[in-house]
Amino acid sequence: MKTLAACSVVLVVLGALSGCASLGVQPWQRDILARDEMSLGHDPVSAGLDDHIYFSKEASSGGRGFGGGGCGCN
Amino acid sequence: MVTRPAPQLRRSGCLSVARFEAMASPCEVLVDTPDADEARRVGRVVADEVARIERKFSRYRDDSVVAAIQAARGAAFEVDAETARLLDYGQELYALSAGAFDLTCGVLRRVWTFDGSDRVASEQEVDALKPLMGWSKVSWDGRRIRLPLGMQIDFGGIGKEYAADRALMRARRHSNSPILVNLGGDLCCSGPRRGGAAWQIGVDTEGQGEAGSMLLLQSGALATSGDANRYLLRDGVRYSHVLDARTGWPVEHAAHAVTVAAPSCIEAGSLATLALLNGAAAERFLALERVPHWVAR
Amino acid sequence: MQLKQRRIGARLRRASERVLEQRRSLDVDPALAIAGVMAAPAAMAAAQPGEWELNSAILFYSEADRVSAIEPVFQASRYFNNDRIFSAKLVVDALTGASANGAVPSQDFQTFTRPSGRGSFTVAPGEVPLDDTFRDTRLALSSSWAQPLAQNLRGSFGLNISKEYDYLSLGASSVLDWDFNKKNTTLTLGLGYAQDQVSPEGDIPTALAPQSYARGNSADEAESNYALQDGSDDAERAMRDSSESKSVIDLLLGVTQVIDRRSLLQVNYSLSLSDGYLTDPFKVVSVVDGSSGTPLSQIYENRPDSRAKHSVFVRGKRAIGDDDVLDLSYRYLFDDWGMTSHTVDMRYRWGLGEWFLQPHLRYYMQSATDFYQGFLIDGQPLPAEVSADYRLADMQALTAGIEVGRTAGPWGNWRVALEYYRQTPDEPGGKPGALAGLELTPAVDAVMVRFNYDFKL
Repeated sequence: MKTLAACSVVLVVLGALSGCASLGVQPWQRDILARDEMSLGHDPVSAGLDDHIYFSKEASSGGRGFGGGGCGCN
Repeated sequence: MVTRPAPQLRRSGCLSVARFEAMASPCEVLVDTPDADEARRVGRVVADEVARIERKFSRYRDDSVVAAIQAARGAAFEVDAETARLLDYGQELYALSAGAFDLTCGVLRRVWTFDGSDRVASEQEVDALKPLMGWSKVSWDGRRIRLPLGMQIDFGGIGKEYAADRALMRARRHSNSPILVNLGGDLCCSGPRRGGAAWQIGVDTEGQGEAGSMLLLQSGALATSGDANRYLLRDGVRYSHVLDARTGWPVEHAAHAVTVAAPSCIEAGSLATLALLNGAAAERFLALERVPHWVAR
Repeated sequence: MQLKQRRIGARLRRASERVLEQRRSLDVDPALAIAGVMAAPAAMAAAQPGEWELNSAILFYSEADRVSAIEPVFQASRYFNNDRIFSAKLVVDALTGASANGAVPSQDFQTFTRPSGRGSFTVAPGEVPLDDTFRDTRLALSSSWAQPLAQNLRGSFGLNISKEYDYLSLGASSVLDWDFNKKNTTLTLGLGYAQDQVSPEGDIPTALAPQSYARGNSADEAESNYALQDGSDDAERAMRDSSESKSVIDLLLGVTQVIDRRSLLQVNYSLSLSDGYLTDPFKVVSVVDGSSGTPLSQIYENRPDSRAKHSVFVRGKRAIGDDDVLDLSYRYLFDDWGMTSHTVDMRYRWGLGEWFLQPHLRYYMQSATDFYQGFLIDGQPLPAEVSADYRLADMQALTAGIEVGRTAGPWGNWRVALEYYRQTPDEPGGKPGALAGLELTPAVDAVMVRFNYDFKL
């Protein structure tokens, strides 16, 4: 009985893992993700301007990705 | 006159999608316009044109051209210009495929039903049908057709692709907006989307065992022949649903599905069908033809 | 089946044209790039090989009574076959106005040496000392080349240079994106290196050395808040070398995962290692009398010569309904200067046909660095490192904005954003005497207006 319980736990964990493995979509289901505004790199020019403002006004910077060059404002 | 439900309109951004059922397939018309009325109008024009072609060339209706040719019972029958063009096209495909594609092989459906079972036709059954098949037995002079008694014409192999092309042509007369017509996977577009963007189309190449691809269509068409879910299985041998008209038997080593891009849907569909008929050599055939293609096996 | 190859294509084309009574053309491209989740430049899906995509923007930034900036940006990306992209970007950053120099306000007039060492300025009683000669123009050029390196592997390589009157930054970076799991998962590895040099007018001040200081007590000086003086004679120079440099190494490890048809999740870990001269040569710290709170002098600030900064960034994007997108992110950041910060950013893109409206909220909070002190008490031992720069203090900041734009239509793709930014630093504790009644780190309010215009050639 104990073994059976252990087995079912293992099965649940495996199930959860395969659940993770099945995260995502098929290529033909990318209609929404392919939209411009769903891209993580959407509007890089504005993102660069924002990053620069906060870089020069706060003690934190970066995180989102790689920005442009440094400057003497901080 | 049967009344059909009006196409269902759905909007997403500037893109309107009208959906309807025709030719036993889910169909859709994508119109790149902010004007919902325009999209509805285009959807209706496309649905009407597809319905017209389905009615005219259906083998199930007794008021179709196909039924009329048969009803002549071996006598010469003069066809209209559109039917004549399709018969010419079928004849050309017959020639290009050395007889593997044949407008008269529809009778084989009587013995072949690809439902996943093991009901493979017997040699006697197929041989019994052979006298009722063969374009060479048909007399066609470009205006009049004489179809021997008991034989039938079947536009099933090219009808849907032809309908997609025609419906798009008709729709363009009613709208200047970019349009994409998709009849159950056979699709064609009027050109790039607003602002020059391409249409994004996902191609299911799952049968290949690897991830499918996404493609960008700026102009032209895409058609798929084959259906991975239609086959017979007996004694470990898989019988594809692609029938070689010369033998009356399924093509050996046929791909599950072939998708081809071409300027028109009918050309894309024909290339895909010819590739399937090439069996194991489908990829080589497509590579030699230098057409963009996706083969699922 | 043996077919006579090569003749089929042409014959079939002619037959198709006859049956349709029409000629058609084909233009199709396998789009491997957009199937990946990582980010290539925006509008990747729309741009075709041989096309230039141009993104332009201009930002107006204005703080009440302090700095104003005009920042035009121009980026051009050229698309080549096989998903190769060249991109170049030019940023101009023109700053004018005044910024806090770190000194405390006083109940009397205060006079300061200009950062250049030439001339001085006077600050009225109770006012936070602002150096009003803050004027600089920055020019930044960057370029990048992105291409597939193997199946499912993309590389991007960039160079950048940024030049100001007294500052030069040279940098190089490379990013690798590896897609797997049907391109539903992308691993990102980024590496960057920058070498910066600062050469302030009047040379680098000696750390912790006193800056010339004079008490304004004449009636003439009292007439204006910022009466200019020709105080170069008084200026006690505390200058050393003509320039200093620092190097920065950046490392980024990221995972992007497609969750479902509508959602994406990104998690990044970044490490930034700075080494060298990290002090701001224009900032000072006031030394005040321990009982009266009167500023007696200012000394130049001094920061540690290295900094290791770690951040974890989590971002989710989800499409809502037919046209909306929710973009949420959180960043946790800490460094070996004893600072930690939290940033939450939310944007909701509300699609309205060809138009969109996007409200934006951002909340930021940081704790002070270990060496931040609002002022020093006269007579107490001098710390090895000290800065009174309010940007290193305990602080909260809020951004609220709205963006409106049109994605199609007669004037192409444009958008305008209006944002309000407010920083509220905490007041330093233990203010002696008169200082207790004065505000050392008042809130900073800024308004930003940004205009973007994108087009293709």
